[in-house]
Amino acid sequence: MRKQILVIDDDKAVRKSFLLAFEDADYAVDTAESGEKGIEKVQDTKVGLIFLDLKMPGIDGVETLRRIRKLDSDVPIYIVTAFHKAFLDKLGAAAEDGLNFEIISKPIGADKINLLARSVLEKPVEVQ
Amino acid sequence: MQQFAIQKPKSEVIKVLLIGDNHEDISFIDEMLAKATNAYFDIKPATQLSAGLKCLAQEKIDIILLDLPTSGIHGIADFDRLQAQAVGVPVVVLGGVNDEVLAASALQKGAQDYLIKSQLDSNLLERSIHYVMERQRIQAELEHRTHEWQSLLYSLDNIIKKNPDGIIIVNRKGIVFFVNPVAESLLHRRSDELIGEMFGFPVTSERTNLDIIHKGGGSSTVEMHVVEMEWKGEIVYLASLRDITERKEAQEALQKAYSDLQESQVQLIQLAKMSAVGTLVAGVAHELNNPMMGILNYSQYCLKHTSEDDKLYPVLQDIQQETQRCIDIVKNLLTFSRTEREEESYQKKSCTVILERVLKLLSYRTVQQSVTYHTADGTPEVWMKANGIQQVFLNLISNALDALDGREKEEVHIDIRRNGDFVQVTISDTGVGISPENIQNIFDSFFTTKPVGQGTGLGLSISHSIIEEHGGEITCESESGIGTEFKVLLPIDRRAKRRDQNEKANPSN
Repeated sequence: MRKQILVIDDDKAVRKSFLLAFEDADYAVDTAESGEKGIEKVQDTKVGLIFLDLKMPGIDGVETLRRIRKLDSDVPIYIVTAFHKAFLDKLGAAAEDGLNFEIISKPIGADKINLLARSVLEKPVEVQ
Repeated sequence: MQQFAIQKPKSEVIKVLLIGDNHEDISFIDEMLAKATNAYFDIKPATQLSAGLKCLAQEKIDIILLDLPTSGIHGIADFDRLQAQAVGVPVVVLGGVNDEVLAASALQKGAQDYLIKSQLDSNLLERSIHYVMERQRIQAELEHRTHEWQSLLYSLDNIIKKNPDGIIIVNRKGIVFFVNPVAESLLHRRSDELIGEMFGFPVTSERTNLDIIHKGGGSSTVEMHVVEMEWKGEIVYLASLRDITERKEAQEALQKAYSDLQESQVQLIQLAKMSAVGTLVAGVAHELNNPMMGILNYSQYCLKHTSEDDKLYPVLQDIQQETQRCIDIVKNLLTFSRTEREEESYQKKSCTVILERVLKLLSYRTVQQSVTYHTADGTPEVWMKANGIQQVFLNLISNALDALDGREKEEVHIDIRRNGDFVQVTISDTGVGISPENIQNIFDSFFTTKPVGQGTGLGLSISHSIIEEHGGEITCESESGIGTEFKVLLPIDRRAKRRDQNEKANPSN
């Protein structure tokens, strides 16, 4: 089964960037234009990697992160951000609460996107 | 007229104490005075000295006539007793030719006249009495005046001595005639070192300040006012001196406080301006990030699906490259607005390590140009936000390399050494230099001398704010056509952190 990637971002340009970048990759890429819709998709399907925007209408990225972590404490989440101070403070608080996530800097190009996805999703299988 | 002036109105009464025991003589004198034309004489006879003294004590006597042979005065001691009792009352001595020795002593002791009875007549006696009384009056007046002058002189002397301002009199050649004690202490010289010597300061009618160097070290400032005056027939300068050291210091302190205030006001305005610009820039930059991510990925997608032979391919490459440039500019703007940098934490790092990293980044540019660096032994690590300092070095060295374009000697040298509580990084180049009219603006935002598209005018402004945030200092010296030298001072300890909480750090101490 193809690994599932979810992109949660209110901006179409960003969602479309991920879709184009992954066009030839062997992943199932889904997108959500809000935190709420993203959470629904995490509930419905097993997701292997999430790209999450911080600044969104409705519930913002940090709140979305908190709610997703209640459903799935392991799925790798990459916060895609341009380091907006207001959100970074909230993100810092989330990190202090023990929520795990990574940060990548926006904007990000196709090569880096693919490199990142491969490094997360194609870890060598550990020999039992 | 003459006659009339001498004649006094007969109404004037002159009280005469006549001391003598010879009745004939007394009535003789009585008769003579009765004939007097100018005054009426009231004669109080006293047969002995003691009676005379008693009379003096009881009433006001105008003149004493002393018939020396019959007065009971035998020696000068008796005469002294009379004088002591008759203060201010003139004495005329009458006597015979034989009495001359004692009479001479009496005259010496203060008797006003000596008349020989055998030669006496009414006119002579009356005139003598008048002259004697007049002389007595003039003498008393003189004494009174002299006393007045003396007390006036004493007061003037006191005024000059006790005057809180120093007083000094200097002639036109600059030689000192007079100083009062305050002037001595103000000038830190004794009067014997001053009087007769050159004053040593120009004496003009304008108000001047004299800088007095003290013998034992230290100095003071004395204000001098000068007026011209006459002194012993010569035109001289009267200078009044006042210690204004404290006033001057207070004035200077006030002036400094005022300019500090002005400066901090300018800084505040600048800060407010930058903060407003920063907020605006940050907002715009963030809004641009998403569309730029779109353009970047769209162009990359197109590139992937275009053959390299296609003439669209290089154009798409250009789009991608220019997009990357936009992304870099926005990143710079965000750094400028401080949002990104604030997230970095301080750590101990070596400036040399950061420098080497920067030189590696710039290695593609430094092929023809000679870039050398030297780190002095024992240069300590510095508390820094490494990315911030890296950006500063990158900006300064890129600028230095830019300045070398077309120069005969293309050299950049970086020197790193300890300077007190700071590490000093000096970046010098042999470039075109900065003109004096530009140098004051180099740290201003959006100020650039580079062609359009080659500089944002933010590099040095960002560098300046990064170094300030560290509690350090960045300065620039440049000579047109010779080269430029930037000096960065970074505090070794974590004063930057303290500076955020407390007041502005002063890198000079």
